[in-house]
Amino acid sequence: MTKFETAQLANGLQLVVHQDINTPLAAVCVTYKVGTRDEELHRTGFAHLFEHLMFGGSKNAPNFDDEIQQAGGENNAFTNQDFTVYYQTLPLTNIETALWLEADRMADLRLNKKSLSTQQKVVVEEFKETCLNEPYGDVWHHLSPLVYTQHPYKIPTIGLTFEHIEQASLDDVKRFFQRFYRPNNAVLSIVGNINLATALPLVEKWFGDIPAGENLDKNYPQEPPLVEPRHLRVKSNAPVNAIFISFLASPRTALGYYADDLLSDILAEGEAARLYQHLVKEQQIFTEIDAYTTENVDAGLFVIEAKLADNQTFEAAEAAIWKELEVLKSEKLSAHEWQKLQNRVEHDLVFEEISINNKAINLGFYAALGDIEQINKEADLYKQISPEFLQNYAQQLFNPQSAATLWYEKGE
Amino acid sequence: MPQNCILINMSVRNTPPNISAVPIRSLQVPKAEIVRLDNGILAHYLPIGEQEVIKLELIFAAGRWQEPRKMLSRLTAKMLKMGTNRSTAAELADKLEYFGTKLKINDEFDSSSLQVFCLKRHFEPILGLIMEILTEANFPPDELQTLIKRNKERLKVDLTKGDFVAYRCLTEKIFGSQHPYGYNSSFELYDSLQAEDLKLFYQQTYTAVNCKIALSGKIDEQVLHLLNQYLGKLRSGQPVEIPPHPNVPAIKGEKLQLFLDKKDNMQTSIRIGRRLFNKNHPDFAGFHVLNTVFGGYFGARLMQNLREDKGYTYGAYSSVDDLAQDGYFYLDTEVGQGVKVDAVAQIYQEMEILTEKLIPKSELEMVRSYLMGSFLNALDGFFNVSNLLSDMVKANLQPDFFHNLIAVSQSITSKELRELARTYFDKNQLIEVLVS
Repeated sequence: MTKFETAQLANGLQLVVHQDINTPLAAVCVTYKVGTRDEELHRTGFAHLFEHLMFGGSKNAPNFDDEIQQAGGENNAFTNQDFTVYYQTLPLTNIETALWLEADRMADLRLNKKSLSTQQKVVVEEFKETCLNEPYGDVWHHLSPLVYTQHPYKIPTIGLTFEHIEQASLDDVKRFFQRFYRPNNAVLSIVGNINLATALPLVEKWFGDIPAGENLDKNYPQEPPLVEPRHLRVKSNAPVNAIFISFLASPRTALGYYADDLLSDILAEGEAARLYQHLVKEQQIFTEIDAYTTENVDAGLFVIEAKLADNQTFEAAEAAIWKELEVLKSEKLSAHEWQKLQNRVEHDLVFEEISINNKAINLGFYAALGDIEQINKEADLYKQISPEFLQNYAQQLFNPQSAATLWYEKGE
Repeated sequence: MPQNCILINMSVRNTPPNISAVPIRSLQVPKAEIVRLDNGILAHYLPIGEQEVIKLELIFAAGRWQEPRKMLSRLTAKMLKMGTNRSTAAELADKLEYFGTKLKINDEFDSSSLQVFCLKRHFEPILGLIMEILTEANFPPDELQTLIKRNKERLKVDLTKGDFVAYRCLTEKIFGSQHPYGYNSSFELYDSLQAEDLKLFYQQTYTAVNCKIALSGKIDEQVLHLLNQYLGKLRSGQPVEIPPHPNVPAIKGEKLQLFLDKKDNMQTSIRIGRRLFNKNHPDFAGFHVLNTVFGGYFGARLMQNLREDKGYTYGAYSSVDDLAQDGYFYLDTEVGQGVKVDAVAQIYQEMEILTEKLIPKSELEMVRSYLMGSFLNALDGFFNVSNLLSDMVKANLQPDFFHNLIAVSQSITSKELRELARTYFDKNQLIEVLVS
């Protein structure tokens, strides 16, 4: 159980506080409800580029990192397709420094040409390092558009091309800030030896006068189910052939989300998991295999990815994976396998509650999702899934008619 | 609306909040208790945290330093889970993962270790499985062949990555291609070992006399009793004999430019480094501070210059890796092809500045504050403290080692730091590796 208290400022900023009496530190996290899914197709990679610009200095704090470091703190941030998250850990005695800095950049970020042009270069290098120069780094550029035709999840977080990043103008980023980086589009979560009664006046003090922005009507076009198989073959520089089979998974707030998670466990969590044991160890068709979900808010992807052993064809590899999926659809799980799943869920839920940073990020996530109470319902939701439900769900999910398959061919 | 403007100008945010320094005395590294098991194993334990969880790490003198043949320690460690007299690899994995956890096996330069995080109520069956591995591992040859095949495939992929190739090249240059800290894995080395070699190394090293334990979490009498009941029965064995190692080459500068067999390689991986020392060296604490200033955190000069000022790279950091018998310093960054020459020049220039000019007071204060915060963080919570305990047990460190590190980070002067830079940032002693 994660106990928490909440409040909302007049400008719409949502505050969540979790008291942890066992730490001298505080974790302060701001979750902005903006991600890649808010981008336009001809201007992609913006949410992530903007994350970099948030460290470029604000009206009263020309250097965010210097201030945090002087207060004995560490900070970082990440962007995904749904949200952008900024978090810092620092001694509780200096918590106001974190609040001041977050408030100052929310109120008056100093966007300027120099900061923009430097960070454009940095992000282009990041694009090269993680996508273009890394073997298999551009997989999402192929896989996401293969599944998504409507939903903006077709855009990888880093952006479709680095030209989009290079083309961003100062006016573009200013508009983006005015639209999305407003208190009514954000959640502030705090974890440390502090309660709401103490935290609220501090938050009021630093954030209270920041004006609210427009009400954002977010209506993302939902992706219709695939009605026929999609197939793509790409040539690459990679040293080994790889295959990716993906399906449209359930949204975060649907019960199917938990079924997706359990199915990926059965298939690929740990060395005893089915795909690894059967296809890597016994049949040696692959040298590596994994199955996972992208854990998006709207319907994300359920992906099975594998690297082929030298002597294997793509056709045989694909058929071998499907054989395993068919078993999952037609045969009931054993009592042993079922109990193992329950144990893993319990283990993970307990361990997730340990780090103060994790707790702050999780609280921010559930609040941004729209239902913070859900953080304490996870265990029950997993329990609502029976072996029968899981089998039925697998039959719907692993439908050959709705699979999108990528053959990623190695270079010469 | 002028009134609004006045309101904004008068914002409370014009005045930053006061910062209070972290008091040094609040940074106390906890001293672990030690209990001696029936067979003599010393278990260092630290009760910590609120959740009903435990971290157990068993550390064996079975790393690269102790192996008589290359790759023996890694393959032996990786094969521990691949079958026992009672269970196949698949059965073992299933029995362990049944408890929602994984057994992680680390093969390192100075030791190998088995590490598990588990719920307290699963501790006993997990101990049973660990004992099965430590007493009955049987190294099936077919499993070894599969493991080798998979490792070779992974190596094939890794060798297409500039950062991987550059790092390998640097450590080999620093310590020598035949030294345990310097040699690199290769397809030939993977093929040079048989199951029998592994079995022998296992019998010689995975024994009580070569074992230390780090245990943290919800530790009570019952947990310690169980620990002894199981691991107290591990056979004693003989202390492992350290094989002779070649001398580390004399320190000298060198420049290497390698090219990957890859079209359209868009970045150059830069690694520059040198041999240093282990934790017992009198300059260790001071160099830790110097490294922080140079490239050890986001505000460091390397990052500010190469990333925040010039936009040459996504990141640039420097680090100190300390080993039981030695140590090295290196920096790493990936930069666009067009700017590699200037990036390298900037790196040397940042070093040179540190050898010439004193670090300004405000910067040094920031580094001190940052380090205090990071020490405080390292001492907070179950995960960080249990990591620290494992590190301390592995390297035989006492809390005073950290207390000294903390004290030096707060007292070292900019003159002393300049002296250290003059000693260790000598261009003629640096090895430079570029992979394009």
